[in-house]
Amino acid sequence: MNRGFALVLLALACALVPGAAWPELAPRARLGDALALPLLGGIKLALQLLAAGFASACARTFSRDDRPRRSFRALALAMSGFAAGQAVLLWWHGRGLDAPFPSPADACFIPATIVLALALADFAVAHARGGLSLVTPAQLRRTAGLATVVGAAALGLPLAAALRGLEGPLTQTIAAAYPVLDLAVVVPAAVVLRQLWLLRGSPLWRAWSRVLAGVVCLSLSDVGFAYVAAFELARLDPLLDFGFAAGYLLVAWGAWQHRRALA
Amino acid sequence: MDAIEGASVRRAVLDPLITQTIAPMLGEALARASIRAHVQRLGLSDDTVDAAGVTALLEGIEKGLRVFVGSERAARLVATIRAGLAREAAR
Repeated sequence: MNRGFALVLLALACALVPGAAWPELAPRARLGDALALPLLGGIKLALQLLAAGFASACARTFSRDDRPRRSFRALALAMSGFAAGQAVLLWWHGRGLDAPFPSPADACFIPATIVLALALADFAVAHARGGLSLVTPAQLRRTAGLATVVGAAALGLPLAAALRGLEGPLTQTIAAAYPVLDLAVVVPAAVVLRQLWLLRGSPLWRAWSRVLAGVVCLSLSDVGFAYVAAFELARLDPLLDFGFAAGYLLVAWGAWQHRRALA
Repeated sequence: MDAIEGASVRRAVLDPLITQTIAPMLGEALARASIRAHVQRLGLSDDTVDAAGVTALLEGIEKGLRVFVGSERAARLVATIRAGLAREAAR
């Protein structure tokens, strides 16, 4: 199954990434909007559901009193929220249309991102309270501070550009919410990575590194989306499609590996 | 647990046994670092650890394992360590 995940990741990269450099190779140019939009949306939806399913299965490997059970359930809930948002977007994509912004899908994506941030924060707290916590609170504070500074620097420009280019308080609020929430996701992800650094080389590290890489991939794609929207760089859309699909795939892969490691 | 009650254990036996049991799941780096941290916390500086020290060390390790592998697996891993100690004691 590891090979299956790797092959899907490779196939997605081959199908999507070249389109960013050579627009004639982009799925929308090759297949047309009527086919490419529902296909890409459907792939993302399938990967989100896969990630939700494996995260949920992972939660079930822990007992009721084990803190990670709650954290993995929150991760599953976040992935289900993304899937619900994607299903809403398919209403437009199924007709070969671009979805408007904002759309009802944002009512799913925004809470899902909040739940994802809470899930990661919950993992971080659980690891910090565990008896094997070998990272000092000062080290964790430094990591969180560094992630906040780097994230804020990366997100400030698209946030300002998005707010300048959009009209209406609701649209501006929703556009601003995404970069801010990305920061709320990246900071606990960096803390969890710092906490788990000593697991390097173990089966659980392989699982966690994929989950965290997936989360970072999703956040980077969100930031990229803000840049693309703010600076009208639509030709980079295939790269964003790859980033989101790879993010969900990596979360699913990591959750599957985690469950397997504990089987 | 009963098998090692009252017995002292040499660190040269205890440390590798804990590492060998934990490392396949959590990696050798974490296994060694967690032993070091618990030994420091409990002040177990001698080459030999008494039964109370072993109990405290294994309880600390089990608590730490729970967050990664769950309470049932953590208990199983520590039971494996205790069984290994009992075998060593019987030699």
